[in-house]
Amino acid sequence: MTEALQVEHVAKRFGALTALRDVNLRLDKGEVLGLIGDNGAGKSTLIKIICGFHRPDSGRILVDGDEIVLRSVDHARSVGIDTVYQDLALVNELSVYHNMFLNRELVHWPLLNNRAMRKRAKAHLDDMGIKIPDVSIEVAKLSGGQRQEIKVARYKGCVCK
Amino acid sequence: MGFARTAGEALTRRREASVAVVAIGLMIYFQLSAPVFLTHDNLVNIAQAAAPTAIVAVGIVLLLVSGEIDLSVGMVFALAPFLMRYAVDFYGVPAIPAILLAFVLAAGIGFVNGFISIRLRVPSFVTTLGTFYFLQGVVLTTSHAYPAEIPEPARGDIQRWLGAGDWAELTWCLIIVGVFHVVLTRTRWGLHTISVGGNLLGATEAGIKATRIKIGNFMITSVLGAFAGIMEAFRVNTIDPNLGGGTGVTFTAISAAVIGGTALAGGSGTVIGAFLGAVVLAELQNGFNLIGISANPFFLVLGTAILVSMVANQYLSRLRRAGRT
Repeated sequence: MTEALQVEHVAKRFGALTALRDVNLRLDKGEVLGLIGDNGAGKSTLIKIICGFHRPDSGRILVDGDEIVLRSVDHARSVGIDTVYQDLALVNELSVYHNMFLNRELVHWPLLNNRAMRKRAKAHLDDMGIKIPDVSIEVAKLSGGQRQEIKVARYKGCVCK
Repeated sequence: MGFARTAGEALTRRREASVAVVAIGLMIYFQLSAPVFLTHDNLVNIAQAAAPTAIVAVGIVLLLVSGEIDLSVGMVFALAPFLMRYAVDFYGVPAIPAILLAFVLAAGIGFVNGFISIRLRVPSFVTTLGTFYFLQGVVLTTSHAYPAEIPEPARGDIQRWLGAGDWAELTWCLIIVGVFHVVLTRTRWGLHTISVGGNLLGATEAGIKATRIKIGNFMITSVLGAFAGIMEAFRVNTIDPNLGGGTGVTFTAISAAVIGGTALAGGSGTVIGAFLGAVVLAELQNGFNLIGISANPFFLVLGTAILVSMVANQYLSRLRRAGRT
């Protein structure tokens, strides 16, 4: 059986700083893996490499057994790798549903298909039992807890492996 | 009570509404103190004063929303008519392609502004301060600081449709305002513009190509500046190195955007608000003239208007944040 995700001998340096050296990781389908370490251990760097944000200096990444050079976050997402960040990902100035669809908007070219996004966002939040009075509300108006829920909901909705 | 509350809510929720109230209030006030204010001829004056500012302000709004600024656009405004003239007079290019060529070159200037600001990480305030002076040098050197005539092939219908007609500038302005209002509020480009201005890191992590969005907005702003400049040259019927009064257009356009409710901090702003801001400024200048106040106190009012609207903006957005509206 091939692993959903495999990281082999990955290294990453930022100037003089070696963030990662010879990192290996295997992840089966349906497996949940915790990555634990001290501050500055390189957890975020590794995640950012896996999700296509950083390029590794050496080593390779395999998705479903095939080696893939991730060119961008979009590219990683297209092969099924997505990320939830701790606290940075929401745009306060946008509505809840725009945030949930950020950079994956439904489009009725050339316009955004707001109606469909609103509907799906609402259905999705209902499914997950998250109570947001109105998905059109600006994220700035939500409480901290509600924002966290939106972030999780945003990523549970996508095709993640 | 119910009505007052609804009106109050509309005012705080829709930022454009408060500027619209000011624009209408000024109109009533000036009409009462100088009955020529709403005559056809004077409305043309106001339209012609407001339109170029508003067109430039549309670009400024896009840039401010994406977290950048362009001070050089006022000089693109002055340079573009010269570019058109050089193409026609020196290279024999027909009028319309010459105008399009000026747009392409303007887009190039916008690209350079964006590239230096985003890729080379120079704050755009500084980048465009530099390009402002550089372009001023280009305008003055190539024109020898002399005004020029509108080239022969561009006269007639082209000149009339692209600026000289009574309502030409306003018509183009309304089209541009309409289009970019939709772009900012209803398209991916607009959504991503708001995202990179509101939360740059978050937007980038979501995979939005912030560099492309920002550089694109610099290019749009430059082209809009060039378009407004060419129309203004057609209207005043001369190509003047001082067209737009140097920093004048840039600063009035930024003022219009700011009075219209666009925050300099990025992430929020409205194109319609900027248009109304430009109308308010044009009304003020025109109305002061009509009721016989000299042009000098205009700047007192402009300064006060910017300060008051910014303070109000801060207050209102805090209200909105608190969810009390």
